[in-house]
Amino acid sequence: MEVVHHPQIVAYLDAVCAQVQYAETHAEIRLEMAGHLADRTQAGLDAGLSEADAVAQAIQFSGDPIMVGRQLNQAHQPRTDWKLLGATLLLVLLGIWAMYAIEVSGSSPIVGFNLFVRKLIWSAVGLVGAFAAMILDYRLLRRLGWPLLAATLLGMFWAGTLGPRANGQAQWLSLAPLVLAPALAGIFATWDWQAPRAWLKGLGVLLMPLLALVIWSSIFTVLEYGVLFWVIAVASRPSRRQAWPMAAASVPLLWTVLQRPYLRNRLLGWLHPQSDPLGMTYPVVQSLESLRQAGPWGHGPTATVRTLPAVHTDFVFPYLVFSLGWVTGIAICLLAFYFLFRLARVARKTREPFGLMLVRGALVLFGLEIGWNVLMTVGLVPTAGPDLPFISYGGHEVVYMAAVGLVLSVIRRKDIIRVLDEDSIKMKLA
Amino acid sequence: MTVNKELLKGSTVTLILSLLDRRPLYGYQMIVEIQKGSGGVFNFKEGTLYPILHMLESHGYVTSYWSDESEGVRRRRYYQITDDGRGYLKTRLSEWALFRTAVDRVLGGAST
Repeated sequence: MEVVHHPQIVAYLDAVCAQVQYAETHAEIRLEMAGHLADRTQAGLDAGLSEADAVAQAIQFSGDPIMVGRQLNQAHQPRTDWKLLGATLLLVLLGIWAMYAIEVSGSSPIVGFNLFVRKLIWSAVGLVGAFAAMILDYRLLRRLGWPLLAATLLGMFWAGTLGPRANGQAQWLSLAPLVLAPALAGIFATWDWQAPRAWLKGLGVLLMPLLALVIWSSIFTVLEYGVLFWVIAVASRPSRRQAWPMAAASVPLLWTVLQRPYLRNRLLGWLHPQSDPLGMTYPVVQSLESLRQAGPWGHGPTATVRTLPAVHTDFVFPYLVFSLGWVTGIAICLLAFYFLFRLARVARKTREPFGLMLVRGALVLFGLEIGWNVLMTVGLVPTAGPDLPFISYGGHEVVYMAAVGLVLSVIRRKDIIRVLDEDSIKMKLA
Repeated sequence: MTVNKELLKGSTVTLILSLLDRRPLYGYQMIVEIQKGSGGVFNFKEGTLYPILHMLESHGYVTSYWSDESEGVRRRRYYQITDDGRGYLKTRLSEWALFRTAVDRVLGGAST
């Protein structure tokens, strides 16, 4: 009989595990401690003890099972990253404040639109969404990778052909990368690059959404999806020969995007901001002007700015800087950095491969969107970009909040789930 | 991400981390090395090692991986120190050095 099945050892491990609340962790605890007890028993046998004495000694050396179990239980509890949650809430509050100030100061371009109340409603819905996503076991999404991809593609087709448009682009499509992130994570968490024609399948997963985005959406969304795909797919370790066709296929697509007349104008405007200050480059010229006039302490919390276009969405950052000053502007940037830093920290501490891919995806998406939005208001990147997550007005706040909720769900479960079975995948991730 | 800090304060943590600073080990190996290294002076209840290790992993000071199963050899859970763990070990070691010199000084003062 193998010593790990000795009734006394089994009883000892039962007593330990009885104290550990989250049953999913029991298998690993058992396997680990049984190995220890077996080693100790073997040492006793080698020293000339009978098997019964050797087992009894191993158990005695190991100590009170109830105490060991209680301490283990403390190591395997749900975790909450309060700092990440706090940073998110601060960003949302800042957005609520911004909408209030824009509305009462009469800076909003849309007269009679209840910005503040609507922002409050979206934020409340977002909070509920975040909470729901946090409580939900994120691993339920793992099996939904392909269906989610298919559903998103259908949705993208709808948004591109029939959905609402703004500035020549299909509006809802800017959300696509956020929904595609969990789909890609689900698909690539169990991806096998050794399977026949894996590279062809991978190419399809890259190109289908990318094509839709190239046809209907902005260069930013195209770039965003490209980077997201890269970060998640490359984490599943394709060989260089498999990665090549995917990289090669991306280039002509990017070229097509750059050739579109609308974008060409934007790019030209970006390179020469003063070329058309009343037309194409009007937004960035006005944005730079508000930043220049802001001063360290701003023009008062509810200052009026009538010159900024899309002040409640694209250009909410220059409004906040104009009204509150560039000291506050720097503080907002630091807060955003801190938010991203917390996400990166979660990524470092996540062992489970699907969760790791989700968190990395969130880090990429939020990093690109925040970075691009701030850089575009200072004219460093073209204005074809995204809103400022959490702060800008819009229903997509709900999706952002749900994304944070998913990340919180990953943290919450990091110490209460079993990782053993996914080891082979984990090795690929390393 | 708060976990019980009490367990992490003991000198056992410093011992474990400095062992892992040399190479990855599994629990039983750590016990054997600690007992050998201390000439049998350190003899704590072996089961309590695992809560400490799991807590260290929760904090991100160590990571673990399971060895592959092979003919007749049990799967072992190996622990490996992380960069965060090295940083933590460094502060713990300097705290320890400070404490030791202070005690030495007091004892030295008492004997003269």
